[in-house]
Amino acid sequence: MERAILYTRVSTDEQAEKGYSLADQKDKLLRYCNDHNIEVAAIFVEDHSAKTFNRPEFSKLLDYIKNHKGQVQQLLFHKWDRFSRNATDSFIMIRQLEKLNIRLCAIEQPLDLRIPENKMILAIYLTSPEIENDRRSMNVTNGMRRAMKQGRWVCTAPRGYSNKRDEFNKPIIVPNIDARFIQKAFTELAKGIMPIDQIRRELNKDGFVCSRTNFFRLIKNPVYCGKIQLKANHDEEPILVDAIHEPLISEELFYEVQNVLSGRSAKNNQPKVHKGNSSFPLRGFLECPRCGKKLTGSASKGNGGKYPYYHCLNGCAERIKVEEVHKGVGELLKSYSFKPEIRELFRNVVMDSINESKVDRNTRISNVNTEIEKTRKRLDSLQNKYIDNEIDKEDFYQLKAKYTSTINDLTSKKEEARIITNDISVQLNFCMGILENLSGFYENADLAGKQRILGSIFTGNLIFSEKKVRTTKVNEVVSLLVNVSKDSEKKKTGQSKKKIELSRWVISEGLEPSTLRTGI
Amino acid sequence: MITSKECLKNLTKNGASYNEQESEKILDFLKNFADIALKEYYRNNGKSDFIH
Repeated sequence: MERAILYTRVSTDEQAEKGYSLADQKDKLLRYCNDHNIEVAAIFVEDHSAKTFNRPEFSKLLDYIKNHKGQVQQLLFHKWDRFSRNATDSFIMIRQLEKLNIRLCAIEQPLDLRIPENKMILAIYLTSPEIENDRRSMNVTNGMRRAMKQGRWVCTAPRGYSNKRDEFNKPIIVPNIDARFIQKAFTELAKGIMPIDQIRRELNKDGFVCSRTNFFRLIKNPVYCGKIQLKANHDEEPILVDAIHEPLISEELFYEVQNVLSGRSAKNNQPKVHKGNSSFPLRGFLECPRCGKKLTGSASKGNGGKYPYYHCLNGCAERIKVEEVHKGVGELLKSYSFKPEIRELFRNVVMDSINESKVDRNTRISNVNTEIEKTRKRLDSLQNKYIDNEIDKEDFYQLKAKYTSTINDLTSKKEEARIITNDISVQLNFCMGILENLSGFYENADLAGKQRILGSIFTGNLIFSEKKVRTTKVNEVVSLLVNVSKDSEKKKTGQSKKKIELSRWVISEGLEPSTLRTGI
Repeated sequence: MITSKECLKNLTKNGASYNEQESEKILDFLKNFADIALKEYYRNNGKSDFIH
């Protein structure tokens, strides 16, 4: 007489309603054993999902089989979806049980697995529940996302809120007794005085127990200012939607806190960035004439003053006065004059850029208008709240001053943008200066401008020697666009034309892409 | 007004037009120069980044 283990499983109340109840499954299995003269070795009753085999009762079942090797021949269950809802894992488990000499049998979907063709039917039995699960899961996820998009928070309520139902019996979150702690947390954080963790500990003492990790997560959650952040999915970008629940804090306060947080984290994790120094625009461009390493710049103290130098960090005592190198670079740039035929082309390019930025500017003006309108509405709402005694005098004046200042800033930005659209010819003439007087333009540019000009023209390093600056490599495009004046240099130095040309630049073969060096 | 690309076609190197790759590089270079110049213009005139 064969012995069998009976396995019954249910995961939801819904299944019980559909006739999958544990008692019903057990009855059918016992009747089957009786009819087929099978002795029941053990019964395992599971109340767990079948997405994986990591289930408490199933684990016990496997242990039982291993401990009673040779004493059990069959594993009986009602249908294949009681066994598993994961086709891949199922095949592995079936193989594992076969090795233990256990035959599997779904009494309402019997299959003789010794017949190879039956594996196809088995695949259908095993895949169908998985498909059903995936479909259900997809529908739930989509439904939740749809609801969230409509501003309805459908997940577990965050701290400070409770899950409730509205008048249409739809889920909504409403502030609970913890809401005041959330408000306090944001208000204190916005002040930027106390460290974040100290604020958390203070709240813990008042009865709002929250772990460090959860607290950090909480203060970054826009749900508290009436927004819902939706993560990106396969066909949608992440979005922030207006929620229908009551916000605990204002949007301004939320973003103020985010600014404080980003400021703090920036300070804490601040990488050691070598900030550009406008006194040394050639840092990163100059090469040591002795060892070939890059030169840096700094000021030496002496004789009651500071004297700026470019110097080598490689140990060789190379030290060059800043003004001498800068003069040399100015002279080098002076020797470059753009071909006259390029000017017309450049004029067109500048006009294109001006027009492009004009379009961009109009979009920004429109965005600023929206922002102004939004702030005005907030101001109106604030005044109403003050009239209705919903906020105190101090808060009212503080927020009023803030909103008014925002509106003024935005309005002046808008006006500035409007003025600039009217002086295109002035802009154009100014821009032409970079071609007509490159060295003068370079001289007046700020640090970033200077470095961009140098980076555009020189693809190799600059070397200062014998009171002159030369370069190892010039952007090939520059050689197509400029004439290099050599006569003046020839007069000054007495060097041959060829020698000057070589010392000025060494043009590489082929057309090199324009390499811009930013930062040092 | 003619466009930058049309203007570029009129440019020649030893009598021959620039090839496509060269033309592209020239335009990129000049666009970069235009950007530098415009940024300088806004900086000199005290305009904010918003304007540019």
